[in-house]
Amino acid sequence: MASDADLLRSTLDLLVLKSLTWGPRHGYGVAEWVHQSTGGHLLIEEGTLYPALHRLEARGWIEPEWGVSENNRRAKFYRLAPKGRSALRAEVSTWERYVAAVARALAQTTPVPA
Amino acid sequence: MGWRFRLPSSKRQLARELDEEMALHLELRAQALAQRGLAPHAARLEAERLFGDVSTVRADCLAIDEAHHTTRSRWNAVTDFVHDVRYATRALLRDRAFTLLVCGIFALGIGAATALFSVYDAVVLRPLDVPAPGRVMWATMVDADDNDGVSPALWFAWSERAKSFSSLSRVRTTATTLTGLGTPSRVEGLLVSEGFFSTLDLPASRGRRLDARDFADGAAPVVVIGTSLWRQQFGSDPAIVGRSITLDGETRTVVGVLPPSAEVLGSASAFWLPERLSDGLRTNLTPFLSVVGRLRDGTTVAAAQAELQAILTALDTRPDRAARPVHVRVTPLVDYLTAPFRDRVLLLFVAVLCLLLIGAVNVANLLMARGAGRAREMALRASLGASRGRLVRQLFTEHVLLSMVGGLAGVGVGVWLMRGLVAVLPEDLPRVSRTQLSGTSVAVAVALTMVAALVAGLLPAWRTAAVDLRSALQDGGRGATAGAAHDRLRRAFVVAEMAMTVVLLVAAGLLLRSARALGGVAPGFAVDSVVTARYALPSPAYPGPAEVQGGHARLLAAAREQLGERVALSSKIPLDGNSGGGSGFVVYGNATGRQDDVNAALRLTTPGYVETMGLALTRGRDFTAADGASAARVVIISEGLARRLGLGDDALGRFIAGTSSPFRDSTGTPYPWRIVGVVRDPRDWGLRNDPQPQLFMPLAQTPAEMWEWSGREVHLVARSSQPVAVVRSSLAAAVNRVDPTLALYDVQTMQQRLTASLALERANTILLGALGVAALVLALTGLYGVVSYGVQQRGAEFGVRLALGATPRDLVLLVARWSGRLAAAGLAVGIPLALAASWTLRGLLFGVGSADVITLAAASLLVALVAGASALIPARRAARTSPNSVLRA
Repeated sequence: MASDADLLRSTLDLLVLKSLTWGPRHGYGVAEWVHQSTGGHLLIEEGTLYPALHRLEARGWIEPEWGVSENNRRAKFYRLAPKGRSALRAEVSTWERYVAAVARALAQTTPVPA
Repeated sequence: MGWRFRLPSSKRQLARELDEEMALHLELRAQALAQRGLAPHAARLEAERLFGDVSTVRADCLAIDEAHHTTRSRWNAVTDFVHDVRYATRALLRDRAFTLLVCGIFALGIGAATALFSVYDAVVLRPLDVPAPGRVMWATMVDADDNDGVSPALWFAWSERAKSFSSLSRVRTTATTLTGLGTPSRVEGLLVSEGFFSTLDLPASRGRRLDARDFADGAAPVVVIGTSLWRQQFGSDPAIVGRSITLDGETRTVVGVLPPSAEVLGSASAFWLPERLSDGLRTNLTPFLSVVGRLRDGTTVAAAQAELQAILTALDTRPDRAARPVHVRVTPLVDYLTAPFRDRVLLLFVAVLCLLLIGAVNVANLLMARGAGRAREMALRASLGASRGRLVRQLFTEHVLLSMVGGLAGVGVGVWLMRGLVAVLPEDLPRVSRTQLSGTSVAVAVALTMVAALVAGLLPAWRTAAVDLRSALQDGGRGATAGAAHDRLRRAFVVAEMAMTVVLLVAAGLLLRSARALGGVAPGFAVDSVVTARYALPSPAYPGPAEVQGGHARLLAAAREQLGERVALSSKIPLDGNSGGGSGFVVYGNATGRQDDVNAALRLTTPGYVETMGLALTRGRDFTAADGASAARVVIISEGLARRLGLGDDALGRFIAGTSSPFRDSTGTPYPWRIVGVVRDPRDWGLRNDPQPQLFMPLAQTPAEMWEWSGREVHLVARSSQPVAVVRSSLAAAVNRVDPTLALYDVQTMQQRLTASLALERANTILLGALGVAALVLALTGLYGVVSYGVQQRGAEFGVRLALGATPRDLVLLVARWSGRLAAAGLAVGIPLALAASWTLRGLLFGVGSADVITLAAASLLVALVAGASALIPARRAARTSPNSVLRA
């Protein structure tokens, strides 16, 4: 099983991809979405988002493009690439199975599974 | 969301973009916090706290970005290249005529250069195919008259004292008759000393080489044969070693076969026989030997030459040694072998390089003209974001592609031309048959292609890409751009092209005039319907003068029976490739001091030779049957000899005497020889060489001492109106009837001999002429391109001129003046260059000076005419310019 950092990283990747399913966002937009949709529980330090974004870009899952921010500044937007979209689908189902498995394990009441 | 994201071009840019991204985040967060009521400063601090450690994030992101950037730019380079090639291919296919023209020029230039280089490589560059070929030397003595050779006395001294050579050996060519294998055949080989095989340092491919036991007293008669002889005469018999063969009637055992690389001396490579010089020759000073040696490691050619010179000087006791000094010359064997051909082949090679250069310049011009037409396309691409470097690379790819295709076609053309060239070049050019498309040739072709691509590609590509976006786009269809610098370059190209064409044409013209001058030279002997053939009477069957005389008489009688009276014998004939060693002669009764004698080439002939060979008898008579062995001694001399002896017009009836021993009786008194005839000097050494004094002696009166080295091998000369093949078989039948063991060889008509003697000359003239014409065509297209492009460029100006009252005729004159100026510049540069080039050619010329006004004028006129013709079409187009169309556009 992966360490805490790995778990957090892959969780963060998943959330970043999810945040872009409604269209391109810049880094701050992604942070805002994660912050609001998790109730501020997951993203303790917003800066950790950026390595995730750049990693996903390098992997070709998201694509950068320059645009204009709401305060009229040049901003780097990220768009979900086709590769990222299919990765998201796979990751989501993995994540759901993982969560279900962990939940089931935590719900056990006997030392040996029946 | 505006423009497309472009790949950051550098790591600095990566960092800059990252910082921008993070700064925006902090700013937006602070804004959001401020909206919730925080003071701007506090909001800023809170945003930073929420972000975390900026420097850690920055470092992490940069590490990811940089790694990504590296792989991405690599991939980009590949895709860019693929894209460039695809784009170039499409562009070239679109302009098919242009592509074909350029590829054609490249193919021709590179093909010709490859072919010539292959020949040059085989004949001159490729060293002997032996280990360390650079250390194999040719050593000889050169006397005051520039005759070379090594005497037995000198050989003994050198071989016993010289320390500069790890092996020093003596070689002498010899010819023998090989019998016992069907038709007897004449084969040439070498008599060698023991060191010869260590000098070459080649192992036998079968059996063994000659070694010490073969040179010992009473050694068994053995022979080593060459690969060609083994293949041709023995059908590559695998059991050849140990087999017996008969050479000149003597049976010898084959002990080995040498590889083809041992055949260093051309045709004289059928066999190698051991030869020992008897001690009796220790004092012999006749320089009839040749010496080759392998330099000891660490010794220089100069040191070896100095050592051999010192030995020679110590040996030289001649009283006139101060006045007539002798020198030692040591040269690499390969240089010695190729020296006679080096200049000619090099000349062709330089001419071909010239043509290639003209071709490259021409291609560059075509590309630039095309580039000018594409200025709009380039401007469009630049405005879409292509950098100048990217455009240059794109164009460069196009040109490299062009020259690669051209180069590939060039190799094909080269192979084809090379075959033709080998066919045109004389067969006796050493090693010409070894010409092949070597790796070196292909490498040179590829190198030439790349250079041509650079010359023809980079400069125009740079110029084309240097477009001024706004003006090119605004000017629209008119193309414009280019600029003065661009035009100057194109004009310079055309001038250079024409100058080189003048050089090539002048060189070709000089050779052509030399060939014509040679054609007008009277050879002094008959060329038509004279057939010649050689045979030799070997010593075992014909031991002494009486037997040799008898043999010759029987053969001559048999031949006459077949072909009639016009058959004769002569020890030497014109153009037989031998210098025909001379002897000294003086007017009889004069003091016979060595200094006063005249060296004359000696020919031993039978009666009828003068008429059969078509020599022009200016006085007196030919020999008759009455001039027999016991009759009074008579000679016929050439006019040159009469002049040199000071006899002038009254040579007839005078007596002359030979100064060397064969021409003296046992008491040392010279025999008197009465002059009975004078012939006009036959050019025995080729049309371009001055005839030497010659002396004819009746074969029947040959002094006894001379039989061994002059009288055994003679030419049968027959003049007949029958076809050559018939004469040939009649001669063969006659010889076969008299002695079936004799070989009849070297059968040629005099016409064939003459043609062969001029073959290299003719090949050079033809090739250079072809190169000159090719250059002319290229220069024509080049000039046409520049002038018609200029007319197109100045269309608007012409329109204005017409509108202002100029007539079409004025415009034609304008264009004519313009191209005339280019042609004049080309001539002004070309003529001095041509003069310089001709000066280096002067050794190859005959009957024409290197600064030949007629040739220069003809070449200049030709170039001027061609220039005028190529300007005609654009000039007429200029005249038809409609002021309306131009001004409205």
